[in-house]
Amino acid sequence: MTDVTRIISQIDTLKPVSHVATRLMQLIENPDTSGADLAAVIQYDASMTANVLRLCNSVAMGGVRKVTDVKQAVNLLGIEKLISLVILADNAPNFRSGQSGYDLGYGELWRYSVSAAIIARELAEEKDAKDVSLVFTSALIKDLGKVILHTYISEAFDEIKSQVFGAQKSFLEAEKQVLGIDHAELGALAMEKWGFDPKLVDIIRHHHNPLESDNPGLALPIVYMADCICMMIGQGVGADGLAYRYYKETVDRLNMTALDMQRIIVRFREKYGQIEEMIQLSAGE
Amino acid sequence: MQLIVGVGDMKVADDPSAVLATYSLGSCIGVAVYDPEVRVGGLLHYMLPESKIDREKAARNPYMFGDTGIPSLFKTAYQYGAKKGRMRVIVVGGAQILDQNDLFNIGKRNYAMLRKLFWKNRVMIHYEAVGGTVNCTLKLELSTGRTLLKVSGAKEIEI
Repeated sequence: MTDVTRIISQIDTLKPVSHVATRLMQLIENPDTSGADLAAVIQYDASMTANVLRLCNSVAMGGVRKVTDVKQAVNLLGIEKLISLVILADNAPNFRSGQSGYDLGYGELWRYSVSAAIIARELAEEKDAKDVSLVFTSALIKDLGKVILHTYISEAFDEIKSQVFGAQKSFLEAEKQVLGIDHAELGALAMEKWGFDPKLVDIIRHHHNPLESDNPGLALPIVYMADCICMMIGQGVGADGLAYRYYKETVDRLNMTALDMQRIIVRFREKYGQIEEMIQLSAGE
Repeated sequence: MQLIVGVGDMKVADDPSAVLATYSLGSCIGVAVYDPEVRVGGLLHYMLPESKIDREKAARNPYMFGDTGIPSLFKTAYQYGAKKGRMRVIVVGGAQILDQNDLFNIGKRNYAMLRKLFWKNRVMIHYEAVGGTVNCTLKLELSTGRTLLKVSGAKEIEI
């Protein structure tokens, strides 16, 4: 087995996305799907139902009315937000443990991922983009590859570091050069294996090198921008730091100014208490 | 006792048992000040250069912005008895994404704001680790004035 094949085979050690989440994502592709259809699928899974209700009753979601069943949750939150909660609850187990290769402690990658997803959703709503769920989910799970790759990063860290600081490579380029595969590609391969929508796989694969995607939609530029904003804000950023490339062409596609971006950062800070609660709750703490 | 300074936050103290700490500075800037004579220390973690983008929010939380956070840090330290001439000033953060050469480069703009204010008010920087692509954590021990810098992926160092 080559080293790259060995790394890829580790995808099987991850907790795959649940049947409930996969089914929901298929359902929302169909415009005729109703909230009741979604509720019926969620209710089938007791632990998912419990997680969704817990998140739904959190301050982050308004928390004014006590929600006791999934049907109520759909009515209160709407389909998009409910899907977001399901995806949050479903993905935490893979992300919450630490990733020492990236110098990330317990919960840090999860904090980063949830922050990126929340910023991406806000950008998608602001840009009136279709596929808000696709944007949210992609931003949340785009770094899944790091969960596997971090152990290999640990072993090769000095070499990767010299590529980044000596040869001016991006962290992604250094991962590919030293380990034969980077975390974006690895995450995309996992999603492919689990039968995810090709649009989502494309976003995960190209979230650091968006110019290599030929997908014309706004979803990828939005996820890319949300990732840049999170790197700059810095919460849950590890040894790779901000060593990724900036593509002005991609940012320009969003038709936003630097001032717009600063306002997003301010709003993120204002909501930080609520976001933190959502991170803790979704991580099962 | 560790006092954590969050993102867009500031703390000043004279309790010798306190350690001020701020985590995960990316493009944000961390400014630590310390007067060894009165053992007063302060730490600010600001996110953006200018408060003019939202005056109302800046009035509620001046620590989000450089142009309101930096004066607040110094004024509060003076209220605790610190004197400008005795203070050690340490500046870290202001990192940038690779090839980010436009107005979206918040790290560079955050640092430019700090330099402008320090120049105008004749504040000397004793140590700075600004720019690059790294993410870091800064701690200040009030009993000794010891300052510790941890760059992600490297060991913590005393500065």
